[in-house]
Amino acid sequence: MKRSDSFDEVKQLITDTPVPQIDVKDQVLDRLRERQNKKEEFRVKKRMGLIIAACMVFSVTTAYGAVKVYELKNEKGEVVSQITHTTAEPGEGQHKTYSQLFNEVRESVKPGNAAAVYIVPDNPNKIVSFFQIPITSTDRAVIQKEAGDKFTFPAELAGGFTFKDGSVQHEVIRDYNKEDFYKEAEETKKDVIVKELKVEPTFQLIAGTYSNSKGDVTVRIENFEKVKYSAAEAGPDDTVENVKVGGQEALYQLTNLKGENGSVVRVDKSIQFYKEDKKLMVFVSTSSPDIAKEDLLAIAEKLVK
Amino acid sequence: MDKEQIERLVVEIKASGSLEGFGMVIEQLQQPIFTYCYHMLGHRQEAEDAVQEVFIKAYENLEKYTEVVSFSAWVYKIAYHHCLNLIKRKRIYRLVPFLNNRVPADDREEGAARVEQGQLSAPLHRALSTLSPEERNLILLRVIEEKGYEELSVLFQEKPATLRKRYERAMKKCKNQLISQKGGEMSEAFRLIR
Repeated sequence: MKRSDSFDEVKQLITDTPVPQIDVKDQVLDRLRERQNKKEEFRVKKRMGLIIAACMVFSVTTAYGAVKVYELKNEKGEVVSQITHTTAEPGEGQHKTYSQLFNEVRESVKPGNAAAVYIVPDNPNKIVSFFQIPITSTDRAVIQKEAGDKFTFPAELAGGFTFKDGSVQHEVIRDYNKEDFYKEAEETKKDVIVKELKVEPTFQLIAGTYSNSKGDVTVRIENFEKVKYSAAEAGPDDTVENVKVGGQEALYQLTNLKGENGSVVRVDKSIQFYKEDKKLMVFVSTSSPDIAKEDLLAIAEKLVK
Repeated sequence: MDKEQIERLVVEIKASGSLEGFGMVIEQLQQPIFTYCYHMLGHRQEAEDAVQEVFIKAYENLEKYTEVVSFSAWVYKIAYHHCLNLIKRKRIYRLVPFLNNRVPADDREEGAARVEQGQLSAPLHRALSTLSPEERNLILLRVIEEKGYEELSVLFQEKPATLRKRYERAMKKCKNQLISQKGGEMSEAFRLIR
């Protein structure tokens, strides 16, 4: 039997594997419209800035009910730009998109908390999502409190990188049943069903960002108490090396992230090592082109102790 | 809508920026692009998110589409690079016990919503996950989309003969993985191969 025949069997398996049906058209178009509006807003602002810089101008504000019209005139008094600003709240019955409703739910959840949400409009696949709002702070003490005695986030890293901000995530306890959401939505006729979720008391991930004149470095610790092993992939144009940090094994990885045309748009560098006694995986990483592997190694050397 | 109609529509959209027209293109291509991303990533929600990002990139970079290859092939190329970046960033946790459904949130953008779906559960996805993203890409475009080596050659700037060899090697690897998942025994799908 020829090889191509045997591949036909593999092909059949691939084509026969069931694939869920999706419909993302409305979501994509909503997002594109939103992006276009933002670009237009920026374009108008930029144009206003240029005119203001070039001419003596003044602005007039008038109000018609809930609509304000802003005008920008040139030296001759001619209107060269006009922005109509609708300040009224959306009226009842106005359709809200999935993303608008989702953002409203997100904004209602406090940092550190998590929720599961079922949104009825624009959700033909009846997807129930869950999310967590991480704790973020520019106060190192807040981040250190979450890390406890497992890891110390110093005020300054080797190389003079000083603490800028940090974020903390906990593992979400997903003790919910999708059917309950569907049932409640059906019974109450509500568009949004939300259930607060608990999170594990110990952190899952903490990241602290440090900066100096060369750029930012992130120190990320991941709780490996429940993790048997982790796997990541590197491509042929990436670099992976065994290195030593404080006498122990570590990995250096350089990853090229590419844009839609295949050109490199960002280069990430990281050192990772494991703290056996604390069951922690530690990553020291940067996207700054001015921060070298040696800089990361020097930082990791101090952190491994 | 056939391929030629899509090409004509894309030319119109390039000139007018019509989102309605682009919506028609999405309707035609979303399922095949999703199928590709689903097999590349082995995860339904990530694939669905990826499809959205791919179409947004396609629309916003439409002026770069030069019609040297078909529009769908161009979108696949965007999908390939997007998936490649996701795979590189992705960290797959193996929890103890493995089948525990409490998969930890990953380290993407803060609070990124995740949707519960099975991950790498199908034998096919387990086999595909052992291939490099480049190999996966080649198999999927050849098998599902039936792209010829000539078109792939233009798309990925590799010689057709090189792609052919890589494809055959990848298919062999995939086949062996599927057999080994059955403990070396033949699955029904391979009963006829030997």
